[in-house]
Amino acid sequence: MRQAGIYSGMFSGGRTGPHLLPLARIKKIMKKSGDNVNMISGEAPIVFSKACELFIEDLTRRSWMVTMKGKRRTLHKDDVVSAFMATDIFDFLVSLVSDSTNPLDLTTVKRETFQP
Amino acid sequence: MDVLAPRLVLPVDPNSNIPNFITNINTNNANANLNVNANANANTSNGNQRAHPCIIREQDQYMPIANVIRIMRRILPSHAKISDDAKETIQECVSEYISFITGEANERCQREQRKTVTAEDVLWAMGKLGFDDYVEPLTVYLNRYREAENDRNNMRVDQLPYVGFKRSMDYGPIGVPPGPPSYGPGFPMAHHPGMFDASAMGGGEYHNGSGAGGSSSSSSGAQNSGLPSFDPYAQFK
Repeated sequence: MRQAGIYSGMFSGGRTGPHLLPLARIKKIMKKSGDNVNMISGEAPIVFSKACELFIEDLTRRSWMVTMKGKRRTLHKDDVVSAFMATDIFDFLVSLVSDSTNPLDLTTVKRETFQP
Repeated sequence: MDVLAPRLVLPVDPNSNIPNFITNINTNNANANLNVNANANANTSNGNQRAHPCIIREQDQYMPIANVIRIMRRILPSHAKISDDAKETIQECVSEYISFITGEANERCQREQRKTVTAEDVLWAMGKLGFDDYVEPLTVYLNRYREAENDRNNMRVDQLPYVGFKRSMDYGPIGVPPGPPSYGPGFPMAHHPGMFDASAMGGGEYHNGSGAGGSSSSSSGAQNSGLPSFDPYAQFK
Protein backbone atom coordinates (compact mmCIF):
# COMPACT_ATOMS: atom_id res chain seq x y z
CA MET A 1 0.00 0.00 0.00
CA ARG A 2 1.28 3.39 -0.89
CA GLN A 3 2.23 5.55 2.02
CA ALA A 4 2.37 9.25 1.69
CA GLY A 5 5.60 10.76 2.92
CA ILE A 6 5.40 13.38 5.57
CA TYR A 7 5.90 16.13 3.06
CA SER A 8 3.91 14.86 0.13
CA GLY A 9 0.87 14.17 2.28
CA MET A 10 1.15 17.60 3.76
CA PHE A 11 1.71 19.59 0.66
CA SER A 12 -0.06 17.88 -2.19
CA GLY A 13 -2.84 19.96 -3.54
CA GLY A 14 -6.32 18.58 -3.29
CA ARG A 15 -5.61 15.97 -0.63
CA THR A 16 -7.25 15.98 2.74
CA GLY A 17 -5.28 15.39 5.89
CA PRO A 18 -2.60 17.73 7.15
CA HIS A 19 -3.33 20.13 4.28
CA LEU A 20 -6.38 21.77 5.78
CA LEU A 21 -7.68 24.22 3.22
CA PRO A 22 -8.45 23.55 -0.44
CA LEU A 23 -5.95 25.19 -2.76
CA ALA A 24 -8.37 25.52 -5.66
CA ARG A 25 -10.79 27.49 -3.54
CA ILE A 26 -8.01 29.75 -2.29
CA LYS A 27 -6.93 30.36 -5.85
CA LYS A 28 -10.49 31.24 -6.81
CA ILE A 29 -10.78 33.79 -4.05
CA MET A 30 -7.41 35.27 -4.95
CA LYS A 31 -8.50 35.70 -8.54
CA LYS A 32 -11.66 37.43 -7.49
CA SER A 33 -9.85 39.87 -5.24
CA GLY A 34 -9.34 42.31 -8.06
CA ASP A 35 -10.12 42.67 -11.74
CA ASN A 36 -6.49 42.68 -12.70
CA VAL A 37 -5.11 39.61 -10.99
CA ASN A 38 -3.34 37.82 -13.80
CA MET A 39 -1.22 34.85 -12.92
CA ILE A 40 -0.75 33.25 -9.58
CA SER A 41 2.26 31.12 -8.85
CA GLY A 42 1.65 27.59 -7.65
CA GLU A 43 3.16 28.37 -4.29
CA ALA A 44 1.02 31.35 -3.41
CA PRO A 45 -2.12 29.34 -2.51
CA ILE A 46 0.07 27.06 -0.47
CA VAL A 47 1.36 29.96 1.57
CA PHE A 48 -2.21 31.15 1.98
CA SER A 49 -3.44 27.77 3.15
CA LYS A 50 -1.07 27.99 6.08
CA ALA A 51 -1.65 31.70 6.55
CA CYS A 52 -5.40 31.18 6.76
CA GLU A 53 -4.87 28.52 9.39
CA LEU A 54 -2.84 30.99 11.41
CA PHE A 55 -5.44 33.66 10.83
CA ILE A 56 -8.35 31.45 11.92
CA GLU A 57 -6.43 30.35 14.99
CA ASP A 58 -5.56 33.96 15.85
CA LEU A 59 -9.09 35.23 15.42
CA THR A 60 -10.59 32.26 17.26
CA ARG A 61 -8.23 32.74 20.18
CA ARG A 62 -9.12 36.41 20.50
CA SER A 63 -12.82 35.75 20.08
CA TRP A 64 -12.78 33.07 22.74
CA MET A 65 -11.17 35.49 25.16
CA VAL A 66 -14.14 37.78 24.69
CA THR A 67 -16.51 34.85 25.26
CA MET A 68 -14.74 33.90 28.45
CA LYS A 69 -14.88 37.46 29.69
CA GLY A 70 -18.65 37.25 29.33
CA LYS A 71 -18.55 33.97 31.27
CA ARG A 72 -20.15 32.09 28.42
CA ARG A 73 -19.27 28.85 26.70
CA THR A 74 -20.70 29.54 23.31
CA LEU A 75 -18.72 31.62 20.89
CA HIS A 76 -21.05 34.07 19.19
CA LYS A 77 -20.68 36.35 16.24
CA ASP A 78 -20.54 39.36 18.55
CA ASP A 79 -17.46 37.91 20.21
CA VAL A 80 -15.77 37.59 16.85
CA VAL A 81 -16.71 41.15 15.97
CA SER A 82 -15.44 42.49 19.29
CA ALA A 83 -12.21 40.62 18.77
CA PHE A 84 -11.45 42.09 15.41
CA MET A 85 -12.63 45.56 16.34
CA ALA A 86 -10.11 45.53 19.14
CA THR A 87 -7.21 44.59 16.90
CA ASP A 88 -5.58 47.10 14.60
CA ILE A 89 -4.44 44.70 11.96
CA PHE A 90 -7.97 43.35 11.61
CA ASP A 91 -9.34 46.75 10.63
CA PHE A 92 -9.99 45.49 7.11
CA LEU A 93 -12.71 43.27 8.56
CA VAL A 94 -14.79 46.22 9.69
CA SER A 95 -16.48 46.35 6.30
CA LEU A 96 -17.96 42.91 6.93
CA VAL A 97 -19.83 44.20 9.95
CA SER A 98 -21.21 47.26 8.26
CA ASP A 99 -22.55 45.11 5.42
CA SER A 100 -24.42 42.75 7.64
CA THR A 101 -25.96 45.42 9.84
CA ASN A 102 -27.14 47.35 6.83
CA PRO A 103 -29.20 44.94 4.75
CA LEU A 104 -30.73 47.70 2.65
CA ASP A 105 -27.37 48.75 1.33
CA LEU A 106 -27.45 47.16 -2.09
CA THR A 107 -24.83 49.32 -3.73
CA THR A 108 -22.11 46.73 -3.36
CA VAL A 109 -24.15 43.88 -4.76
CA LYS A 110 -23.05 42.87 -8.19
CA ARG A 111 -26.09 42.16 -10.26
CA GLU A 112 -27.20 41.86 -13.83
CA THR A 113 -30.52 43.20 -14.91
CA PHE A 114 -32.56 42.20 -17.90
CA GLN A 115 -34.35 44.92 -19.76
CA PRO A 116 -37.31 43.25 -21.43
CA MET B 1 -16.25 44.67 -6.72
CA ASP B 2 -17.15 43.37 -3.33
CA VAL B 3 -16.68 39.66 -3.14
CA LEU B 4 -18.51 39.21 0.11
CA ALA B 5 -21.69 41.13 -0.50
CA PRO B 6 -24.72 38.90 -0.34
CA ARG B 7 -26.09 38.18 -3.74
CA LEU B 8 -29.66 39.18 -4.36
CA VAL B 9 -31.82 36.56 -5.95
CA LEU B 10 -35.42 37.16 -6.96
CA PRO B 11 -37.92 34.54 -8.01
CA VAL B 12 -38.41 34.61 -11.76
CA ASP B 13 -41.90 35.80 -12.65
CA PRO B 14 -42.40 36.44 -16.34
CA ASN B 15 -45.56 38.43 -15.70
CA SER B 16 -44.12 40.87 -13.27
CA ASN B 17 -42.24 44.09 -13.83
CA ILE B 18 -39.57 43.18 -11.35
CA PRO B 19 -36.21 42.94 -13.00
CA ASN B 20 -34.67 39.52 -12.83
CA PHE B 21 -31.48 39.32 -10.82
CA ILE B 22 -29.31 36.49 -11.82
CA THR B 23 -26.58 34.96 -9.77
CA ASN B 24 -24.77 31.67 -9.71
CA ILE B 25 -25.95 29.47 -6.96
CA ASN B 26 -23.78 26.63 -5.79
CA THR B 27 -26.30 23.94 -5.08
CA ASN B 28 -23.78 21.17 -4.54
CA ASN B 29 -22.70 22.41 -1.21
CA ALA B 30 -24.77 21.02 1.59
CA ASN B 31 -23.75 23.94 3.74
CA ALA B 32 -25.49 26.57 1.62
CA ASN B 33 -27.35 28.97 3.86
CA LEU B 34 -30.58 30.68 3.06
CA ASN B 35 -31.35 33.98 4.70
CA VAL B 36 -34.67 35.50 3.82
CA ASN B 37 -34.79 39.23 4.09
CA ALA B 38 -38.25 40.56 3.48
CA ASN B 39 -37.35 44.19 3.92
CA ALA B 40 -35.23 44.84 0.88
CA ASN B 41 -36.84 46.70 -1.99
CA ALA B 42 -36.34 46.04 -5.65
CA ASN B 43 -35.83 49.00 -7.91
CA THR B 44 -38.68 48.87 -10.38
CA SER B 45 -40.60 51.19 -12.60
CA ASN B 46 -43.74 50.19 -10.79
CA GLY B 47 -42.94 51.59 -7.39
CA ASN B 48 -45.73 49.75 -5.61
CA GLN B 49 -44.45 46.28 -6.27
CA ARG B 50 -42.24 44.80 -3.62
CA ALA B 51 -39.90 41.94 -4.18
CA HIS B 52 -39.30 39.13 -1.75
CA PRO B 53 -35.66 38.58 -2.24
CA CYS B 54 -33.81 35.57 -1.00
CA ILE B 55 -30.22 36.30 -0.10
CA ILE B 56 -28.08 33.25 -0.68
CA ARG B 57 -24.47 33.02 0.36
CA GLU B 58 -22.28 31.80 -2.43
CA GLN B 59 -20.25 29.03 -0.90
CA ASP B 60 -17.68 29.13 -3.65
CA GLN B 61 -16.23 32.32 -2.29
CA TYR B 62 -15.57 30.94 1.17
CA MET B 63 -13.42 28.24 2.70
CA PRO B 64 -15.46 25.12 3.42
CA ILE B 65 -17.07 25.57 6.78
CA ALA B 66 -16.08 22.12 8.01
CA ASN B 67 -12.41 22.94 7.50
CA VAL B 68 -12.79 26.26 9.25
CA ILE B 69 -14.46 24.61 12.22
CA ARG B 70 -11.76 21.98 12.42
CA ILE B 71 -9.11 24.66 12.74
CA MET B 72 -11.15 26.57 15.31
CA ARG B 73 -11.53 23.42 17.39
CA ARG B 74 -7.77 23.16 17.68
CA ILE B 75 -7.83 26.35 19.71
CA LEU B 76 -11.03 26.02 21.66
CA PRO B 77 -11.47 23.90 24.75
CA SER B 78 -13.53 20.77 24.25
CA HIS B 79 -16.57 22.09 26.05
CA ALA B 80 -16.78 25.20 23.90
CA LYS B 81 -19.66 25.66 21.51
CA ILE B 82 -19.66 27.76 18.39
CA SER B 83 -22.77 29.48 17.16
CA ASP B 84 -23.62 29.19 13.47
CA ASP B 85 -23.30 32.91 12.88
CA ALA B 86 -19.85 32.89 14.43
CA LYS B 87 -18.78 30.12 12.05
CA GLU B 88 -20.10 32.04 9.08
CA THR B 89 -18.45 35.23 10.23
CA ILE B 90 -15.08 33.56 10.50
CA GLN B 91 -15.60 32.05 7.04
CA GLU B 92 -16.22 35.53 5.67
CA CYS B 93 -13.22 36.92 7.53
CA VAL B 94 -10.92 34.35 5.93
CA SER B 95 -12.06 35.23 2.44
CA GLU B 96 -11.71 38.89 3.20
CA TYR B 97 -8.20 38.23 4.50
CA ILE B 98 -7.18 36.45 1.31
CA SER B 99 -8.61 39.23 -0.85
CA PHE B 100 -7.00 41.92 1.25
CA ILE B 101 -3.51 40.42 1.12
CA THR B 102 -3.79 39.42 -2.53
CA GLY B 103 -4.87 42.93 -3.48
CA GLU B 104 -1.76 44.39 -1.92
CA ALA B 105 0.50 41.72 -3.39
CA ASN B 106 -1.00 42.22 -6.81
CA GLU B 107 -0.51 45.98 -6.65
CA ARG B 108 3.14 45.41 -5.97
CA CYS B 109 3.38 43.10 -8.97
CA GLN B 110 1.80 45.70 -11.17
CA ARG B 111 4.10 48.41 -9.93
CA GLU B 112 7.06 46.21 -10.72
CA GLN B 113 5.46 45.19 -14.00
CA ARG B 114 5.36 41.52 -13.20
CA LYS B 115 2.49 39.31 -14.21
CA THR B 116 2.66 36.60 -11.60
CA VAL B 117 1.79 36.96 -7.97
CA THR B 118 4.39 34.85 -6.19
CA ALA B 119 4.67 33.47 -2.71
CA GLU B 120 7.21 36.19 -1.95
CA ASP B 121 4.71 38.85 -2.94
CA VAL B 122 2.18 37.34 -0.58
CA LEU B 123 4.66 37.25 2.27
CA TRP B 124 5.74 40.80 1.57
CA ALA B 125 2.13 41.99 1.58
CA MET B 126 1.50 40.29 4.90
CA GLY B 127 4.48 42.03 6.44
CA LYS B 128 3.39 45.36 5.06
CA LEU B 129 -0.18 45.00 6.29
CA GLY B 130 0.84 44.23 9.84
CA PHE B 131 0.85 40.44 9.89
CA ASP B 132 4.53 40.28 10.79
CA ASP B 133 3.94 37.49 13.26
CA TYR B 134 2.87 35.24 10.45
CA VAL B 135 5.76 35.94 8.13
CA GLU B 136 8.40 33.87 9.87
CA PRO B 137 6.40 30.67 10.37
CA LEU B 138 5.13 30.98 6.81
CA THR B 139 8.65 31.39 5.48
CA VAL B 140 9.73 28.25 7.31
CA TYR B 141 6.68 26.43 5.95
CA LEU B 142 7.39 27.58 2.42
CA ASN B 143 11.03 26.56 2.60
CA ARG B 144 10.12 23.11 3.87
CA TYR B 145 7.64 22.78 1.03
CA ARG B 146 10.27 23.78 -1.50
CA GLU B 147 12.76 21.33 -0.07
CA ALA B 148 10.18 18.59 -0.30
CA GLU B 149 9.38 19.50 -3.90
CA ASN B 150 13.06 19.44 -4.77
CA ASP B 151 13.40 16.06 -3.15
CA ARG B 152 10.53 14.75 -5.20
CA ASN B 153 11.92 16.11 -8.43
CA ASN B 154 15.53 15.10 -7.97
CA MET B 155 15.48 11.92 -6.03
CA ARG B 156 16.47 8.62 -7.60
CA VAL B 157 16.02 5.29 -5.86
CA ASP B 158 19.63 4.19 -6.17
CA GLN B 159 20.87 7.35 -4.55
CA LEU B 160 18.66 7.29 -1.52
CA PRO B 161 20.50 6.77 1.72
CA TYR B 162 17.42 5.09 3.14
CA VAL B 163 15.83 2.33 1.18
CA GLY B 164 12.16 2.20 2.03
CA PHE B 165 10.09 0.78 -0.73
CA LYS B 166 9.87 1.08 -4.47
CA ARG B 167 7.25 3.11 -6.20
CA SER B 168 6.17 2.96 -9.77
CA MET B 169 6.54 6.70 -10.18
CA ASP B 170 9.67 7.86 -11.81
CA TYR B 171 10.70 10.33 -9.22
CA GLY B 172 11.25 7.72 -6.61
CA PRO B 173 9.83 7.11 -3.16
CA ILE B 174 8.90 10.12 -1.15
CA GLY B 175 8.88 8.46 2.19
CA VAL B 176 11.87 10.49 3.17
CA PRO B 177 12.50 10.64 6.88
CA PRO B 178 12.69 14.07 8.41
CA GLY B 179 15.99 15.86 8.40
CA PRO B 180 16.99 15.99 4.77
CA PRO B 181 20.67 15.64 4.01
CA SER B 182 22.45 18.90 4.52
CA TYR B 183 23.04 20.57 1.27
CA GLY B 184 26.34 22.18 0.50
CA PRO B 185 26.70 25.91 0.57
CA GLY B 186 26.26 26.01 -3.16
CA PHE B 187 22.71 24.79 -2.98
CA PRO B 188 20.76 27.18 -5.10
CA MET B 189 17.70 27.51 -2.95
CA ALA B 190 18.58 30.91 -1.67
CA HIS B 191 20.90 32.10 -4.34
CA HIS B 192 19.37 31.31 -7.67
CA PRO B 193 15.75 32.25 -7.65
CA GLY B 194 15.45 31.78 -11.40
CA MET B 195 16.55 28.18 -11.40
CA PHE B 196 14.76 27.58 -8.24
CA ASP B 197 11.43 28.83 -9.48
CA ALA B 198 11.40 26.38 -12.33
CA SER B 199 11.44 23.37 -10.09
CA ALA B 200 9.44 24.87 -7.31
CA MET B 201 6.65 25.50 -9.72
CA GLY B 202 6.74 21.91 -10.83
CA GLY B 203 3.45 21.58 -9.09
CA GLY B 204 1.87 23.77 -11.71
CA GLU B 205 1.32 27.40 -12.26
CA TYR B 206 -2.11 28.91 -12.24
CA HIS B 207 -2.77 31.50 -14.84
CA ASN B 208 -5.61 33.25 -16.58
CA GLY B 209 -6.31 33.44 -20.25
CA SER B 210 -3.82 32.58 -22.89
CA GLY B 211 -0.86 34.39 -21.46
CA ALA B 212 2.01 31.96 -21.59
CA GLY B 213 4.75 33.25 -19.36
CA GLY B 214 8.22 31.96 -19.79
CA SER B 215 8.16 30.16 -16.52
CA SER B 216 5.13 28.08 -17.35
CA SER B 217 6.88 26.36 -20.20
CA SER B 218 9.87 25.53 -18.10
CA SER B 219 7.85 23.91 -15.37
CA SER B 220 7.22 20.77 -17.38
CA GLY B 221 10.89 20.53 -18.21
CA ALA B 222 11.79 20.83 -14.60
CA GLN B 223 9.71 17.81 -13.74
CA ASN B 224 11.93 15.51 -15.71
CA SER B 225 15.35 16.99 -15.46
CA GLY B 226 15.27 18.71 -12.13
CA LEU B 227 18.27 20.94 -11.72
CA PRO B 228 20.58 19.74 -14.42
CA SER B 229 23.69 21.40 -13.16
CA PHE B 230 23.35 20.41 -9.57
CA ASP B 231 23.33 17.04 -7.91
CA PRO B 232 22.47 17.32 -4.25
CA TYR B 233 23.47 13.74 -3.66
CA ALA B 234 26.92 14.08 -5.10
CA GLN B 235 28.26 13.95 -1.59
CA PHE B 236 26.78 10.52 -1.12
CA LYS B 237 28.42 8.90 -4.10
